[in-house]
Amino acid sequence: MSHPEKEPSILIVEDDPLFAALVATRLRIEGMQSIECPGGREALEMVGRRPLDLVILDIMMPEVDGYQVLQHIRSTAETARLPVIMLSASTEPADVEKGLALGANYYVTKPFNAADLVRKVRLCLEERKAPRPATRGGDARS
Amino acid sequence: MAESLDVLCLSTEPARWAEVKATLGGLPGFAMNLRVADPREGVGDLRHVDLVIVMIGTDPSSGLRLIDHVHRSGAHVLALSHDQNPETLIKAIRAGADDYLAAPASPPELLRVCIKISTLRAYNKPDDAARGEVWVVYGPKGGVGSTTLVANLGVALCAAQRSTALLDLDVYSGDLACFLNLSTNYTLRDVITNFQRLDAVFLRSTMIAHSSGMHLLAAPTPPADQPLLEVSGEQTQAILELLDGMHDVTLVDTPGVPSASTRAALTCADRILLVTELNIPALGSCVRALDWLRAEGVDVATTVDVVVNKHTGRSWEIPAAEAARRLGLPIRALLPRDDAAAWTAINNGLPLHDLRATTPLERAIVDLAQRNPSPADTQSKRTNFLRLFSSAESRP
Repeated sequence: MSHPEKEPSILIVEDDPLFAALVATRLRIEGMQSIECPGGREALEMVGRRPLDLVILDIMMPEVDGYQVLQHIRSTAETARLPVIMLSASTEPADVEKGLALGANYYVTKPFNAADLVRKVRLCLEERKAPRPATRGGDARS
Repeated sequence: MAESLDVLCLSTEPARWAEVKATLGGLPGFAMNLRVADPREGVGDLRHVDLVIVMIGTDPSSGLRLIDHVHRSGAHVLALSHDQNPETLIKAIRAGADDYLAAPASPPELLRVCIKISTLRAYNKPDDAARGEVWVVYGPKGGVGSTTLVANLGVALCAAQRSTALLDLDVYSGDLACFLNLSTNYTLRDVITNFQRLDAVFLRSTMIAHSSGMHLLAAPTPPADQPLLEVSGEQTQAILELLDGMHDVTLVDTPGVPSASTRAALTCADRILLVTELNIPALGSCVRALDWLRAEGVDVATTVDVVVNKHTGRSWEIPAAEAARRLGLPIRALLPRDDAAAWTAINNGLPLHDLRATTPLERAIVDLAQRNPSPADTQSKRTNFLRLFSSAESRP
């Protein structure tokens, strides 16, 4: 985890710019690059146009929500295996199941702290590198 | 000057303690307060530990259980293991490890972890230059319209392009969310019950956005069958410190009861809006509140703005000049009584700004939002937060 490697590139899709900036700063401290994206519509344009290692995706966004962005990511050949962490204020089992069924690697429910999120990011990145297929799972605890 | 780090090293193998101790002791720029412990005999107090190093031995499961236990304290957890298996790494992260190194860790690797912890300290405690202002609205008599003022002052601040957070500290009957027609998923209760996990990201994820652009951390609904939420002064200061680092203005609504959280908010406020009506009981409560603030070392002349609410100018009110004389402070604002506007706004969950016509009440609140800080104010703010930190340091 602390070995010098290429910095992972992470897209943060979040309509609260302060929240996105806080997450981006924390990821930078962890040695990760991040790109902030203010909404789902913009995310549809950005995903696939630049190399990414992971997407942090808020669900509740105006116009195009996180579910729609996730569907786009999974249905596009170039990004179908791109790890996605979904963020939501909802702990409703139906919402969690929907996110996971659409292919989210993790579903993190608010409130969570930066360390919680960084661990999920590291898990996704390590699982992608590991020889075994990535374990997919939700996390309604965080 | 070397930065101090409190480090706890947990291992069942004493030989490995010495190895880590020697490496940590030689890291430049850091002075290590190192404690070593055998986890089979307990890990002790983790509250003030910056870094917990967990040695994963030949049986990874016990080390992983230990990580799961210690990471809940909020300390940064570094897993050290001879096991290079990626599965062990993934399990360690799942258990709660923040960093993972192959043992024996080299000095540059450990130094990188220590630098990260140092950087995270700054991330969680922004410096004075990044701070905004804390404005506390306090009506010691109760029922004088503090919440109406907070809701509408917040909207006025947002309209003036100042990023604004609202904090409802009224655990007795806080209803700022209701005033703004916001339904909340999370409240102050979630913050307090997860206090060891609190950071800026956690705090922001408990707040709800209002259409004006401000964000609210709502008070919990008091449960009928449970005790009231207790918020300590230390917790209040920590929350305010985080909010203050993220917003131009943090606007705090307080109950009339001088609870520990209310007192903490008042003593670290950059501006106190003391809300009263022009009658004897309300002014008497304000006099007592001012006496208490002076005793706490608050410079009331530069910090407190007296706001008279529901002002009618009728003969049965105590004249404003007489009220100012009794309080020993000038009256900063007279907010006119406008029941039609105030009640319409409250009952529709709207700020006054969203009513059809601009009212004198709204204009008076907008005027109150304009405050040009003078050098004296800046000095006052710095002093207030120094007081905040020194009180934290003096705690046993």
